[in-house]
Amino acid sequence: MQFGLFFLVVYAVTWSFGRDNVSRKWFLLLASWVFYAAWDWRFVALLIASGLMNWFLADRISRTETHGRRVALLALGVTVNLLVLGVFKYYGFFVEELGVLLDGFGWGRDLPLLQIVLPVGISFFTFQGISYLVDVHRGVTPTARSVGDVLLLMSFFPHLVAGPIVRASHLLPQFERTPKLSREIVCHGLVLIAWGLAKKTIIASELATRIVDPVFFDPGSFGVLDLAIAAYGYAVQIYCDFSAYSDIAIGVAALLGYRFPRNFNQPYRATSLQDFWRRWHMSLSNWLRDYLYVPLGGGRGGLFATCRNLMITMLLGGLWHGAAWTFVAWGALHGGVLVIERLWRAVRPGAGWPAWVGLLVTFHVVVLGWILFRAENFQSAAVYLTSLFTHWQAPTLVTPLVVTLVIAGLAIHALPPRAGEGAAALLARLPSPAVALIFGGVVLVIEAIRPEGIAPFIYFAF
Amino acid sequence: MLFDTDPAELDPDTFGYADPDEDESRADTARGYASRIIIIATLFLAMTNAASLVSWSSTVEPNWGGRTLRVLSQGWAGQMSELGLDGFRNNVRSLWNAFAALPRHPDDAPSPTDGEPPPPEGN
Repeated sequence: MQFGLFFLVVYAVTWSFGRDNVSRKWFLLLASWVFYAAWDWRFVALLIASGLMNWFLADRISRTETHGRRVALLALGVTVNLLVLGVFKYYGFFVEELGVLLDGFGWGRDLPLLQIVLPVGISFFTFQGISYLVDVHRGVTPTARSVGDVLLLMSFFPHLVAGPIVRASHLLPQFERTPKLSREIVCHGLVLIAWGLAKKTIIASELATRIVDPVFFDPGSFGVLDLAIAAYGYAVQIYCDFSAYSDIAIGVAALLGYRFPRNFNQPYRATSLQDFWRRWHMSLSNWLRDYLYVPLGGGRGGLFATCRNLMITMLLGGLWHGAAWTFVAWGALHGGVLVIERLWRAVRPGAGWPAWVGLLVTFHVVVLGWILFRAENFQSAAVYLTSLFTHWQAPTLVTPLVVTLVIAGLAIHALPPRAGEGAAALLARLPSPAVALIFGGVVLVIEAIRPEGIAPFIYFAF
Repeated sequence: MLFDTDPAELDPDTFGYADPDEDESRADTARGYASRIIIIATLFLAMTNAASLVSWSSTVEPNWGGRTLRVLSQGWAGQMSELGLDGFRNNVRSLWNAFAALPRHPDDAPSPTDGEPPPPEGN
């Protein structure tokens, strides 16, 4: 409700600027900071400082002729961005691990543990800052025309807290011209918002409260069927939760006249893990490819080097999600399976298996990964996996509603890939009152059946 | 492999349409179209979904503004209820709760808490 009211004000004021694009951008920047301040006003300064630093260094890189000096400036920028991320996100984790290591050698001592609040969206805006610096250094994108554009690139409220990670080369050219709408884009934006609301508030929230949270809280107390349905349920929940945020962000930005990249493409239709990562959180997997895997050498150094680079990329991709070994293990599982796929193709080029086998195997590898991802720690994950195959008892949480929601979440993947565009094209033919009543009616149904108290989006924690 | 994909092969844009028309008058028409949809949908939801307004106002800090908001939203919801505009929302909710309370097995009686899940714990 609060976000809805905020958006109505932003929408009305933004379009009241007409062709005055400079005022529009400064207003959007201010609105984005207000949006961020609603969570914690102290970290708005961090967001501004990060934007100013990236603008300044990118500007220096573009003005510097000497290659060595350009590389040094880039290294400085990347280091500072990673340092900010490291301090806020990983400080406690590394200090704790260091303490354990020192204890192991008998050198235990009190280390300076600090309770540092994790700023929402820090993983996303620091990655955007890094990509801007690297792209300017590579000449992929020119520097922004004004400091305001860089600040807006990093702070723009629809993508600020949980992505998609929108690159400078995608968004800066849009900031430079006056945004425009078409009926198709308006209707597609509305379809994405309604679709996102439905996925988050009905499917993801209901599954979280009815089965996933209680089962993952104490997996040893549940039987095989509860555990299996909760694992499938979490696969559906995390997809419906995260893709819903992306859909709403893309839809909101579209109504303001800006286009964001696609972030999901029916990931559980993947027939291999390689295929999965082309469909899941695409803005992150493309980022990891362009700014980590390729600089490591990518697939250019032979089979061993390729496998090593894949493993490093996925391990760091896992750690990006959170400061815990379970996330690293999740990354290792994905990296390991990607390496196996790579080796298989090297040993048996051209050999394959039926698509449905690939789909089933890939889906279950992904579900196995989600158990590690969701578990509080390794012990909990181990109890979950052991009980999943040994704890035969009657189910207590599996209800017709839960099963229906899991099936519905998976059935989304059977829709035509361009269903959203199709629905938007149909709506765009209708007059505005009809579209308004259809949109309002859908939101009313969602509001009527959603549970009281919706948990925050999962990726807010990353 | 995963990371060997040429970025040009991907379809990065969510919207498969060409850029909006450069013609200013057509762009203005589309903006008016969007604004009318948003205004009508907002009014429609304010009338048919006033209960959500009440429930949101109860979460606002109970200072002068919050209390005023609560009184106004309750008054508005009462008016809409008298007009019968909350009927659709209530019927859909009752149907959903009935479905949510379906027993796990034919022998099970629904427990008093079925249909109303516990509050979320986040993640």
